[in-house]
Amino acid sequence: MRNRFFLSIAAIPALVAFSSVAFAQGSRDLSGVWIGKRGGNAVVDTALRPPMTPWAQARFDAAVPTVGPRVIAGKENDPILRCNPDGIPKLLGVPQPFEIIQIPNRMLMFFEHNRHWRTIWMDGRKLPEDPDPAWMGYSVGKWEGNTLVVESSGFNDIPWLDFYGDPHSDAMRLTERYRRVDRETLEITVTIDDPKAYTKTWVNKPKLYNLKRDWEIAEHYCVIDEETAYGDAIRVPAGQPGNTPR
Amino acid sequence: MFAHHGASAYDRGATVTLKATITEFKYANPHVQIFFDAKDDKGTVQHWNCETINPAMLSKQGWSKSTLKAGDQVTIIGHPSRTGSQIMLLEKLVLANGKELAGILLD
Repeated sequence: MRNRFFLSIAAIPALVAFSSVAFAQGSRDLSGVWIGKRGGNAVVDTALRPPMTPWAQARFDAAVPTVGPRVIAGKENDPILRCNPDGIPKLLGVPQPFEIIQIPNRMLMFFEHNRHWRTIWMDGRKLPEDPDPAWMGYSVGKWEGNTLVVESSGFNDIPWLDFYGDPHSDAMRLTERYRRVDRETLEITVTIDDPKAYTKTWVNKPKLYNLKRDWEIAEHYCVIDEETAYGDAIRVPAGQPGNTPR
Repeated sequence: MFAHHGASAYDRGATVTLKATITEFKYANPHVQIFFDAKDDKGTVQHWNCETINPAMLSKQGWSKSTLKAGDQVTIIGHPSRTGSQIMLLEKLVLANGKELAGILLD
């Protein structure tokens, strides 16, 4: 009896490990609040960026990011500084969580950042032939095994792909692959086909996201008056010598 | 991770620790702003502007609109502007009761 008891105790770690693997292999449930590991990072890898077309290079050269080596303090022109919406895939890389909700025939993504949301249609429809441009594009998804493959088109060309000023065009076709690695971890891999901007397909490395069971999506809006007040008090003077307003 | 707006303006390799008297606490977007006075090495009171991440994320790490008010005496630890302006990026706040609050996103 006693031996049997100890045997069952010893089996617990193995059972936990097995159930975690079994879960990952058997899960088409992506619901929950997720945030990029280490607070998020760009879902595109600039080190893997294909050569740009002249159209994209001109846009890139004109972009002054808020982070990275090309910053010019006080001259930043990321469209979000004017409260333009961020699009996909940039929203997947902001240091704030998003919530996935799965309902019949649709998957909804609610991004805390600026309260953006998108629909991924799961009812088998095709992408529209000639879509009108949209900030979030138009997205359809289907399961391949336990990987959700999301195809999107119909984006406008205004948001950057990342915080570093990498552009995309209105011809971008985006593929996102979602896979739950284990109970606590989601993996997203992004591929960009944008012949107007890049001479080859841009294939990126998988990025990992942590499940936050005790978090709820908080309110967060971009308000131009608040952006202006912050810019005047902090962002602009931080890049100028001897300037501390107030 | 501090991906937004102007974090490159700060010298992340330098850390300053200041005994601060809060003059205003703006628990607002896009980034929470803390305005305070602190004495320099000569004892002269200097005014500082300090920023951290947004309320949505700070609220997940123990902050609220009531965390600070004008007149509070706290210790502020952060990274100064590269230009020498008295503007800084918050790393950590220590309240008068010893409670510590991170000004960056914890993993």
